[in-house]
Amino acid sequence: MATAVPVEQKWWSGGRSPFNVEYGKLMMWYFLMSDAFTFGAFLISYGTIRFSSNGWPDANVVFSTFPFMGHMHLPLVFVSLMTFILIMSSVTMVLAVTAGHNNDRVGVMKWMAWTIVGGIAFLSCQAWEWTHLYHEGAWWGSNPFLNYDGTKASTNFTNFFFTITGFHGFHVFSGVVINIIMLIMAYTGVFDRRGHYNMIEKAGLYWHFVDLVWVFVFTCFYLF
Amino acid sequence: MFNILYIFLTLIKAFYIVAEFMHLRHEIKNLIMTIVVPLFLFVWFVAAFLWDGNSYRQLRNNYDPYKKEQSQKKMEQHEAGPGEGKKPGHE
Repeated sequence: MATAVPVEQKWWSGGRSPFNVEYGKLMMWYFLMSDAFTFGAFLISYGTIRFSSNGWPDANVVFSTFPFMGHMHLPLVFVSLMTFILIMSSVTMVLAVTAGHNNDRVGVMKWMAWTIVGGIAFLSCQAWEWTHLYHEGAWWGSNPFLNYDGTKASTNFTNFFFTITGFHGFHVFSGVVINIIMLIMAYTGVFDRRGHYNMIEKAGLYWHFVDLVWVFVFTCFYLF
Repeated sequence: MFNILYIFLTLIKAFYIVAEFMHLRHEIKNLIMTIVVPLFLFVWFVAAFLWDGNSYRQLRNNYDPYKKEQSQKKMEQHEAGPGEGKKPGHE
């Protein structure tokens, strides 16, 4: 937890952390920065291949279905719902961190539980979407969709789509596991014995990062 | 022009997630600079690689007329119908 500091502090003269955060939280930031470069490399290679192609499938056609709606043409409605679910679970995570600052064990447990529910809901949506695309014939190495102009598309689109959303989905899954562990630790009173809920903050950083990455995945794959 | 707007809104949203949800705005300047400055590499990455991809497309179209011709052939529309695509692994 960051503490209030006087303005005229000499940060680099030794004797204290120049970052004013505890070790674990600083390392979480470093990890997230490296993870940002991993995702960035994926998305930039996607962009490079797309810029080097004469045609590309139309996201409004590929992603136009919704569960139980049959063949109704609902472009991007489902993925907007997924985005909304993930951003709401980020909000509940903020509330869990706030409750942790107040050493409110019941509040932390309540909001962590809602965050886990949001994460599982997002993963379920993604499982449905993947299954649906698979049944349409899309998979690694197989692309049934045509380009915007009606020409045949290469498999680059599906390869990148499943790899990158899969990598992101794996991050969401890890986040849900971490959040469940945090919930159990809060329940058994580990944080109360320590006297602080800093672990919730670190799990929160990871969870917000997963949400942050989704913003870019969403823009790259669904809006363009 | 909507594309520019989408990218702009995406960056705004990303900024608020990092600044407020992840609380980076309220950390001290040393930490903010440590995290944010390396990310500016992305400006060069995006510009250079997309430029490169575009250049590769043009070179191929200029020097590989067969490939260009193939990429302009229209397909029959029914192949894109839902459920009609080939199932993976059932070639």
